[in-house]
Amino acid sequence: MMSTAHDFRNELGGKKKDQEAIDLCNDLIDKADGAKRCYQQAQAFVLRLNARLAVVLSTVLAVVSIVCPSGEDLRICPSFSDDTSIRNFSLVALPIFAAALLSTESTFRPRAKYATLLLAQHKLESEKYKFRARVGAYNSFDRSKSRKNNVRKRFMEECKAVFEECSKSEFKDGGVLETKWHVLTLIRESFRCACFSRTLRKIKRTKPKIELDYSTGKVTILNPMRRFVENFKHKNENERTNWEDKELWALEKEVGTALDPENPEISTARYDNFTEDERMRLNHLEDLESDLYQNRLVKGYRAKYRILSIDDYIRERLLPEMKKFREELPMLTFCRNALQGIVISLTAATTFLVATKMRSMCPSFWPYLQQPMHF
Amino acid sequence: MPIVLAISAAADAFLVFFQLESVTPVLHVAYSELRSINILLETTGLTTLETRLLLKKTMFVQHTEAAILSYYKHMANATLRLERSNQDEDALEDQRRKLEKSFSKRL
Repeated sequence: MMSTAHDFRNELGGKKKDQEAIDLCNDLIDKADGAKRCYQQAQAFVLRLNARLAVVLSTVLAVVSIVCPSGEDLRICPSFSDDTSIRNFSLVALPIFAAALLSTESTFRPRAKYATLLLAQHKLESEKYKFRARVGAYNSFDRSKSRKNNVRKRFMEECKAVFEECSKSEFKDGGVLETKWHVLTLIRESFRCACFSRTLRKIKRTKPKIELDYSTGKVTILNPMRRFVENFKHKNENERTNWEDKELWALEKEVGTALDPENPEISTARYDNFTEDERMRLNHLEDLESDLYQNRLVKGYRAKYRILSIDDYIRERLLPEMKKFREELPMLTFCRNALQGIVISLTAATTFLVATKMRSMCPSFWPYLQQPMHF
Repeated sequence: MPIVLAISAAADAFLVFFQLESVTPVLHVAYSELRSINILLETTGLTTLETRLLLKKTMFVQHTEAAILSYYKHMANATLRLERSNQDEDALEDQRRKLEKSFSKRL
């Protein structure tokens, strides 16, 4: 009985408050995820890779210019060796470019921030699932001295602590997570608004079609806007912006309620045109739709916020994570082996080239080292 | 030869950058841990009574969460360590300079 009570027990304030707490946690997870992606792109593609590339290129150029200062003996790329001005310019510019990128990286430290955010995001997720399963610190029946607080309060405090720890390090390093997220959301929202408006304009141009079946006297109004609204509602249920919500509300008023859940294009837009029999049928469908809507709401709550039993936990947390790891593992192992193979084989090839002194493939350094160098 | 060397250095840099050498074994351990929990639950199964026992539930949830978090913790900590080691060199240099200054003042 105790465990049954545990599985169905919500904290003081009921389901709604629990739902709000989980929503807040989800919001924090989203924030951390968004900022993390931003830093990941910055660190991987913009700074680190370009800087390394510039360093490698400048080293190659330096070696080339020492080995063949006039460019007459460079067999790899004769056209490049002819034009020494480009080479000289690159020799000066590339190290400066690399230094600028590296100093930018050390100032903004996107990699460290990415790591902090990654950890914070997964800690929050972990706390969320512990709270939903009501285990450990979130066990409602554990009233030991150290755990006198309400479970939900404890959960919120823990989330706050994780996020604050993360944002404190951000503040210290000069970037503000909240601001970054705000700017990112603004950009994303404006982009989505533009896309939404464009599709809307296109849809508005197509007029509703009325189909009449003379044998049965059935009238069907096909409204493509209705389908668009329905599709959009289902597709972006969790990530709609306020602007899109407002726009959808206005649009729904315009196209009317969907009467047939199977065929959302049939709308109430021309309700007056229907016969009494049709109206009866449509009213029945309207009730059916409201029932379906209620079912969807209940289903949504059950999927997102309910207290998890062991089976639910396995289904919702353990198996998806296992699947993710299973997919990642072979790919990472392959990449590691491939890269290690490349490093080993290329090092061996270089050693072989040096040992055999294949002049056609590698410019031998020895004769140049014997001569006095010209700088 | 410089091109061959550059490609080799780039491959090595990728290995270090994505920490593939250390991440792969940790991911493997985490995955095996999760799989063992799942197998334990699937093969031995839990009786109806056991599924209702809070102790069992707590044990499974905490084990799973620890296994999942261990991978991400390793990834994050390895990155932070790498960053710190780069910064530590600068910090050590600063510290050395400060000590030298203080010594020279005392002298």
